[in-house]
Amino acid sequence: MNYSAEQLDAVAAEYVLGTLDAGARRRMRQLMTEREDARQAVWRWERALGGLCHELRPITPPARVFAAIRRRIDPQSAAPRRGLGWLAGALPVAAAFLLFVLLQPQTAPNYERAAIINDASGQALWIIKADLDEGTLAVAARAATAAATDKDYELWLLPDGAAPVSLGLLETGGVSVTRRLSPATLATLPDTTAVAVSLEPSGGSTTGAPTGPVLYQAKIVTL
Amino acid sequence: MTASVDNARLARWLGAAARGDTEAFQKLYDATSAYLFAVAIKLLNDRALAEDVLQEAYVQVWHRAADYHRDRGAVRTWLATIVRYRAIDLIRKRNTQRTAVVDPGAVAEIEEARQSDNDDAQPLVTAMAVEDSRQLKACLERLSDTQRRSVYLAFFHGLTHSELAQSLAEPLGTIKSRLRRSLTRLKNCLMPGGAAS
Repeated sequence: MNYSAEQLDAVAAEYVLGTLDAGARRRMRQLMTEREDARQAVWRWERALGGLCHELRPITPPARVFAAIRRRIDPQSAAPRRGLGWLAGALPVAAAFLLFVLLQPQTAPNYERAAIINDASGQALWIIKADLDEGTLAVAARAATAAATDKDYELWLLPDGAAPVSLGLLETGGVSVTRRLSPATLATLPDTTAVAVSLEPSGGSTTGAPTGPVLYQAKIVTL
Repeated sequence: MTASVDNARLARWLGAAARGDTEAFQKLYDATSAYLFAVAIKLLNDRALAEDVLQEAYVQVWHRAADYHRDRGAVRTWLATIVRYRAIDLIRKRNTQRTAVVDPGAVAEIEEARQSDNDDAQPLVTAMAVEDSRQLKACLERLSDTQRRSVYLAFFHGLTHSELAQSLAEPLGTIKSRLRRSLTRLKNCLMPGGAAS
């Protein structure tokens, strides 16, 4: 195409502004691969008009967007997905229960992580569910029984290559609680694949790290 | 997220991302995604589609981080361009004739942002981006109200000439020539001396 410099600049401006139809947009891109002056014209307009974008009020996207990006750019972080098969095979009853819980009709489409903490016989002690959209952690005590009077169970996130992050104390006796996660914890969650339960002095660890024996570990599954 | 992140730091993270550093990439995402999400929502008027576009855009950024260079403007401007083009391509692909929503609220919101020169209100904007923005604001002020309105509608809603004509209930020829005049005036203001070689 024999655009004059002026015409080229006018089309570049409309391309950046966004008024060209699909065919014209494709032709402009083609031209950019062929001509340095076309590239330069488009880039100049991008710099000129791009500042308009800075006038919008920022809107924080939900955490699931980055989690999805993360899975695509770093497939290793998708590992927890495989955990579901492992879980279903090992613990059909608990898994079925978990699915039942998660498929309740009142649950709006959201992005969830879950973990089931079992004792050695495969009995579910606690069911943990995190909603990344809402930023909440729901813990349902199942077969868990109270620790010794001067002890508490504490739940920990085990991020790969980083120190455990406390998710708070665990209730027993069939109690279900939901609490809000801190932004820092919420940011850690999507890339974390395991949780652990330690036995701590009453009130929980005072050091910010597990101090007592680690009693249980469980994989976090993505649902 | 509230700290202002300067362009040099964004460029450093982008450079690290080009070398496969996912942590740096996440920092880049954290510092820019809210601002890009707003752009996608504005264009698509649909949060679910905007999330998809945002995801596609950042995956593209990850794979093509090495393509960025200073000629593309501030990092944030470059990222916004990627999101805008993806959104516009999606709009064209859906191929339905759209009329803007000449939503007076939406235009008013932009106008309001335009008039407020309080940069603290937009903590995500980098110094370099603010510089881009300030010059542009001054030049937009020199357009007539109808010219400015047409530029905004095209830029933020991705409307074609004929969609704009329909939205504004004006003849196609009027729209085309108005946009051409607006862009020429902007160019003369933003790139004095006719940078077009």
